[in-house]
Amino acid sequence: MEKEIKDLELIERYLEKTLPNEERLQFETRLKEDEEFSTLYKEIKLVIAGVKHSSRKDLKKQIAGFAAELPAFSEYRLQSDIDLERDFGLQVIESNLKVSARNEAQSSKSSNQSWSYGIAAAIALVIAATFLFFNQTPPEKAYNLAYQEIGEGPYKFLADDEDPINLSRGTRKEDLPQKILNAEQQAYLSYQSLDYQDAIKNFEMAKGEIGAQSPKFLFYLGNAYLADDQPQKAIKTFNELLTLPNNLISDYSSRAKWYLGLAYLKNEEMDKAKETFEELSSNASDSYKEKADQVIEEISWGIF
Amino acid sequence: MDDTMIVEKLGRGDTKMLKNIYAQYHHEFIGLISRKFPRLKYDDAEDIFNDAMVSLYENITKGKLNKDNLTSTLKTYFFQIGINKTLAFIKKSSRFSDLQVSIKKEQSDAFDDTYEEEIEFEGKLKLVEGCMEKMGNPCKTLLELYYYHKCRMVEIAERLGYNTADVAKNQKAKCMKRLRKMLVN
Repeated sequence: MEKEIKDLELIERYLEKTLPNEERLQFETRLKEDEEFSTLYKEIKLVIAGVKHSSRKDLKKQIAGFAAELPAFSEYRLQSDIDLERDFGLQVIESNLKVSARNEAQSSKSSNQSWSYGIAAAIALVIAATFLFFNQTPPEKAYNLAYQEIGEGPYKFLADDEDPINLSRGTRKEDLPQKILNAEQQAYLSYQSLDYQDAIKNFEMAKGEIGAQSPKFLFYLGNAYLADDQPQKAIKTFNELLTLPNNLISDYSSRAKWYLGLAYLKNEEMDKAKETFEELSSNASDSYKEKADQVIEEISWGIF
Repeated sequence: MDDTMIVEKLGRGDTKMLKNIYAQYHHEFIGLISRKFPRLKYDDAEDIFNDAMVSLYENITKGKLNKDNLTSTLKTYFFQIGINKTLAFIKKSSRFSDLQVSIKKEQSDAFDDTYEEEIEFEGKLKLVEGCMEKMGNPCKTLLELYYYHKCRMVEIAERLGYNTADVAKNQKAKCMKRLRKMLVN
């Protein structure tokens, strides 16, 4: 056993390249001359490689298991102070589809030092940039996060909102005789079939008709604007709604504020957006409180 | 916990620390490379990330990275490994054959971790793996801790309940012998 332990250790040290020169040469001579030792060496080398291989697989399995404990990945929530091109010299050129990683700092430095110089430069940049810009979630990301992830996109038309034409479930726009619909009714229909542009067209036509200033009218018009990427008009419309007398808008005030906040985000008016969400959040009984809290928490508002 | 402490703990084979880093970097890394390479599948991105975690760990256990030679943040170091792995993946994947990938030699060298032994032994490694499963514990764990996680004998003795490091060393030699015999038969 004693000899076996000694030989094993010797082989380990040889494989790890930690044998002093003289011993290494002796070792190599012995390998050539002593067949039994040479077999032992080959076997041990294989066994160690196998042990490592198997351990690595186990470790990878263990690491893959961590994913289950993380919240689901969502690109919308991506917040990073890293820019792959700026910090690592990674370039993707779309036109001729060439990808290359380069590090500008490297080209002028000797190769040994280049990596650390590059990183040092990158870190300096990151620190400077972080301070000024990266404390905040970029507005577009913030909007996507709030609109698509925390909220569920455009407001889904609610049949309870006193449906003017009493659509039965599954009725499609095409199935209805068009002439009996006035512009406002047509607008709601288009809204329901997610045709926001057509909804806007009809809402705008219906302006001035009776009921055109109703909270419902303004709420869905605002949502149509927002869904159609017209945040400024959406803001104006939601604000119009919110200035109506309280007894009229009770049903709508909460959701209108939520979408107003989103419209501000979309329009990159971060201060006003935050203010609006905070208002929702401050009312414990508000149905949008939870969502508003989430938005406030998950977006890094930074200094605007 | 600061970077040097994390590196120190990982260096002692404390794989629990990996979970910590995993949680910190996972979404950010996958988000960044997915944006850079929109055609990259999520599963592939995750696989790249996991491989990068393994490499980070191995670089530390092998002593290639230690608390004294960490010149950047651990995050930057890790992302560099991850980006190298991403480019390697893009290069070899037929789905991206229309892309030409290149990377500065110095950078890829710093994180070169091709597993020589895997190339040398190829199919035989599976055999060893099977024998290890058959052999079971404590041999399996002992050999893993020593050869892969690079734990010192004192630590192994402590973890596996041997009285002294010498007892553990003896046990290790016995396990190696058993494993070799299993392989020959």
